[in-house]
Amino acid sequence: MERSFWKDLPEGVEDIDKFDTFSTSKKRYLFIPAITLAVCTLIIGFFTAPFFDAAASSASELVNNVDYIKSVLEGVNNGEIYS
Amino acid sequence: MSTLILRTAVKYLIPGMFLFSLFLLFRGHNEPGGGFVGGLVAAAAVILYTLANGVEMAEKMLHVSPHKLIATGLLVALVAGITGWIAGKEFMTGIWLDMPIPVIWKFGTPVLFDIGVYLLVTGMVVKVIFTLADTREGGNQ
Amino acid sequence: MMNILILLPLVIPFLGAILTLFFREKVSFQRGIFSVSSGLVFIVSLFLLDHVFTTGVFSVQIGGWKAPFGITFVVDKLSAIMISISGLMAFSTSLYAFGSIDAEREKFGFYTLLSTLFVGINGSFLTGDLFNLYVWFEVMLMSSFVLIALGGTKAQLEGAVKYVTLNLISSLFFLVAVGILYGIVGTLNMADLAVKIKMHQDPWLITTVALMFIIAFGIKSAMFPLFFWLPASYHTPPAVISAVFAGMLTKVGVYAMIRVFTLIFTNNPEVTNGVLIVLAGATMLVGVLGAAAQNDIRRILSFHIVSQIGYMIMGLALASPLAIAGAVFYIIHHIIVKTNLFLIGGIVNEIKGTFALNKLGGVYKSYPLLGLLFLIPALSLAGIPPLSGFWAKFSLVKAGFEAEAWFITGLSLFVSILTLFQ
Repeated sequence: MERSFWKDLPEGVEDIDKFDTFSTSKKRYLFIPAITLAVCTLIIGFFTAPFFDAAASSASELVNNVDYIKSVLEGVNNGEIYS
Repeated sequence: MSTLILRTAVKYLIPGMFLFSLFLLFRGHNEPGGGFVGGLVAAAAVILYTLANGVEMAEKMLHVSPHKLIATGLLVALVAGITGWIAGKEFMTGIWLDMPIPVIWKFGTPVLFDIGVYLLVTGMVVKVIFTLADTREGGNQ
Repeated sequence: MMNILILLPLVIPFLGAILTLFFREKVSFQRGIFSVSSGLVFIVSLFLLDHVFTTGVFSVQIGGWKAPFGITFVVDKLSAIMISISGLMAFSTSLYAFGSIDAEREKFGFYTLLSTLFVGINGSFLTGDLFNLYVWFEVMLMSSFVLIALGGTKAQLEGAVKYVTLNLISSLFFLVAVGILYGIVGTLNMADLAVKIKMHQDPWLITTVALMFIIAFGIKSAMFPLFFWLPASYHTPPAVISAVFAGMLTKVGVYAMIRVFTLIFTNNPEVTNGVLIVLAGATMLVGVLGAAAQNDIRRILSFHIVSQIGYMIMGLALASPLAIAGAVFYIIHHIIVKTNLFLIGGIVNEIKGTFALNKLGGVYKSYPLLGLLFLIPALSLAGIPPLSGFWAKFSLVKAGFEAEAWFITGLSLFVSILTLFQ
């Protein structure tokens, strides 16, 4: 889909351009979120370590689920109250 | 549907139906009943009125729009949940007043929550019926 | 204090939904409420993140009823990460909505529905109870049903019918599986289930139920073979709605899958992970091949979602800590990048009036900055180093080689090369 940006306009298609009709606030609303998210992508890409560490520690928490179980069943005799 | 017999009958039926819906609502904590059925009965009363007199009159009778009923119901239910926090306990903890209140015997956050459900169900059903029954140009929004 | 904080990601958007209902006529007021509430959720989620990473898992019992009898809400690292991304998405899409959504939709309760959608999403991330998870799924689906059909154009209704039908079937599977599981084990609290299922004498009975959960969550997260509802419906609503759906909804399914298969159904991993890995491979391949034949920007992106769900499931199925870390990282990367691509696609549509590739061209020539803006997420999606997608794929591939799962790893490399060429 990168093509839509770099190829030439196909023949017989009218070139529409509504950018100049946008109000300033509309431009702002459209571009601020897109730019913010692109910056997020760049940050995650270039400073991966903290994000990956967070993912890794959440993964180790998922694989070793003792903490989760303990936190929920705290004080319920390890979940065996009606066995 | 709009006949003289229905219109006259509705006039006497509706107060009874509303009373009965309230009875169901407050009975609901320990016995069959509760906010949902109560709300349905209340909505049935409004629907009967709509059948007899049309949507426009029914809207006038209700005074508030169904949306407001729905929103109020949700808000009341949410407040019932948050009361637990204010009392320093968990969300949605049942908190009861000690002193008995006439007619509804005992008042607490579960009753408040049920009132919220009652309003929500009434609003929702009435909204659906209004939308379906409205024949005006542009419809009911 | 923490027991209030953990529920705020639900209470704030819920209150927002109520307030927008009250002020139905005042659209500008609704906008304010929605952006403020989603911003607040994001701030709260940062507190949650901080708390979870410093002191560990935190749980709260609703109404003070002890687990496993009451409903539990748990925030662990994964939930906290997901909640904060959902908060970020809510906030950025709210701004985008102000600029792009039409007045008609705004008047018909767009912000109320979007708030409710985020209540459902956040609820799914926080709950520690399987039936409660079902309820949050329904909250989420009900609002998404309306959002996808809101506006009522012909294409939208056509997409909505497919979306609603398949998702209702998935809910049905989910509910039946929950019922059977309750019949077998007698509890639905996830932590309690984890304890009880480890001790259960008949692992195959449990595995059967686990496979039903794969079907239920598989439909919801658009896994092979029941993925076709996604590309059939995601391109019909306005870009901002597609962006939220593409970013968050399928990932809620993947989240549920990760939660259930790391916490509860761990007793027969050869079978469940074997099934998952086959489905993951097929999902990747079908998604990327499907994307090649499309013309509409949003349909291409939709097929890429399918393809990438395959990568996340692959990480889950390999089941080593590195693989699951890769899957979690992939989810983080994917939500941000996918939402971004849909938003930029929406901008292209706003400018050029079309999403169709064969009517577009020369966008870069007239808007080089927009082209650059588009390049960042697009290259990240394709996995070009050093963008986020590369690290996500890299860790998955590394985990695959460590697990000596040659075939799936080779397939994932092949698929990422194919993605590169689109």
